[in-house]
Amino acid sequence: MSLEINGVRAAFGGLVALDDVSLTAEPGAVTALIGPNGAGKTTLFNVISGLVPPERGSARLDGTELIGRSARQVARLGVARSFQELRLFGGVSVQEQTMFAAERSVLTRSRESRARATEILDRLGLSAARRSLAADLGYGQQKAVSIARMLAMNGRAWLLDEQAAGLAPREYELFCEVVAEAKDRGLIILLIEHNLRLVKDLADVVVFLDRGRELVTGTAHEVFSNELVRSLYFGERD
Amino acid sequence: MLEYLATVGTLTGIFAIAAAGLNITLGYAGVFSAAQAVFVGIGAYVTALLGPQVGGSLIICAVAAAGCSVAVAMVLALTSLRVSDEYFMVASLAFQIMVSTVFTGWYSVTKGTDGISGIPYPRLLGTELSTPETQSRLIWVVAALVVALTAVLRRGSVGRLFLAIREDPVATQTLGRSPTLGKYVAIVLGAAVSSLGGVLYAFYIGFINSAAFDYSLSIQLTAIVIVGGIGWSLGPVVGSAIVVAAVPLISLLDLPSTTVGPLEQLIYGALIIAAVGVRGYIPSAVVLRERWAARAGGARPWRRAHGPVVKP
Repeated sequence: MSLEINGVRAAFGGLVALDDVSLTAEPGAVTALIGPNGAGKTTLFNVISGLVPPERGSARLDGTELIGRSARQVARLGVARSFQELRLFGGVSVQEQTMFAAERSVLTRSRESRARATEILDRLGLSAARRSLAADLGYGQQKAVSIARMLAMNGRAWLLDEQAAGLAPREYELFCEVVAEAKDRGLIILLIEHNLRLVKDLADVVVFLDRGRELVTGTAHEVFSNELVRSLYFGERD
Repeated sequence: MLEYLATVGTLTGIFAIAAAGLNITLGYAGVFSAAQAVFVGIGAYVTALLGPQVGGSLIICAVAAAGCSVAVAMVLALTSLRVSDEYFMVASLAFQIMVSTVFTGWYSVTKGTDGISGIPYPRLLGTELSTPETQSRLIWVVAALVVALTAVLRRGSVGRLFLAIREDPVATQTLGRSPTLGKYVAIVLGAAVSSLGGVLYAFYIGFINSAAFDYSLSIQLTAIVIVGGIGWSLGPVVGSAIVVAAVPLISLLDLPSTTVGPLEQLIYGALIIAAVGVRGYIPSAVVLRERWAARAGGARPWRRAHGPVVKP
């Protein structure tokens, strides 16, 4: 059981966003995607989650091909993702949108989804805010709501797009705990991060992308000490 | 004068029912349909044509009207949901104009602008409701039921799907649900509810013609939903009280009769713009409830506490 991405190429007109990207994300491990802006990290997430059709390549979750399926189908196969811009339901209460994420169809019993939402909101320290509209919350709490929805989906793979950026220290710690718990449950975790401390702390595998190409893969230590990465990403020259 | 007020009060109820349908489509699911008058019209025509045949049976007329509206709404939804929001609005307006033309032009059935009279009194459970008072009571009972049903719908899993679609269709998809199916259901459900307004309108007035169900009724229903508070289950009643009951009071002013109609349309437009303009400044029902709950120490006595939390 793993998420295998093979030879994915995606282009917007003449701009090649992903050029033959391959990587494997193992269950019970955190795979971090790093790279400068425009490297194609979010595009890769969009390809996996069915929002952007690639020109070619494959993405398999436990051997099931995800490419060619709709975003809805990919989500139902167990891929939960967050967005950099969060895409919360601003005019819907925190509890209701978490319940919604827990429901597979309108036939799901409200009692079950409510119990699950309550449990998740307690874990994320959102109980007091459960009746608030997502739009009325602060940034850190909005990010927690995004995580709440992912937890509620009960998926097998998580795609986290800069979820730790802009968090206060306590929120940051909570985020790390939740990711570690998900890792212990054997989830496949793929995350995009610019926060190198987080990458060092959490990532088992680091993949460095630059201009649509996957250049270096290894442990955090290996990737951070790679000369190519140092020159392209950290801007160091000798 | 008292009779006039009673009539206005009853019409308020009828329009509230018709607008409650649009509140499902527009208020909950965020699908801007400019064709809601079509479904009110179908309800009214079904009643006018079928009513005399079935001795004015309210149940039969209501079921038939809802059935016809659902069928027509499916056509609207199927042909139009391929396009995105703004285009759907234009497509639905075109649909409204097409159906209005059918109402006016299909003279052998609808009698066009001449209209159909002689609609019998409604009959419910073997009782003929032959006075305006009993019909008025019936209409307000139906209005209360419709409001209660939409409130239940809003709080359930269907309501959550509709709101998710209204807020963000892409996120709805990545959470594993289908915005297209949800919009489809919202249009069809809204059409069925609005047709009930048409049924009650035809019974109450006893006469209908095609002019009553043209695009200006669609605008009026939109005004009711927006002015009453979009997506709030009681909104259609509040909006109807303002748009149907209060605005026509301008006819009591000493104005030439030809200016009253256009002036009403002007006021609807101004009300919509004003309602949209003050959105965000007037606290919503949710916020008010929250503040009230906070003041009461978070205790909400009328609501059952949550059951035990199930640990994984």
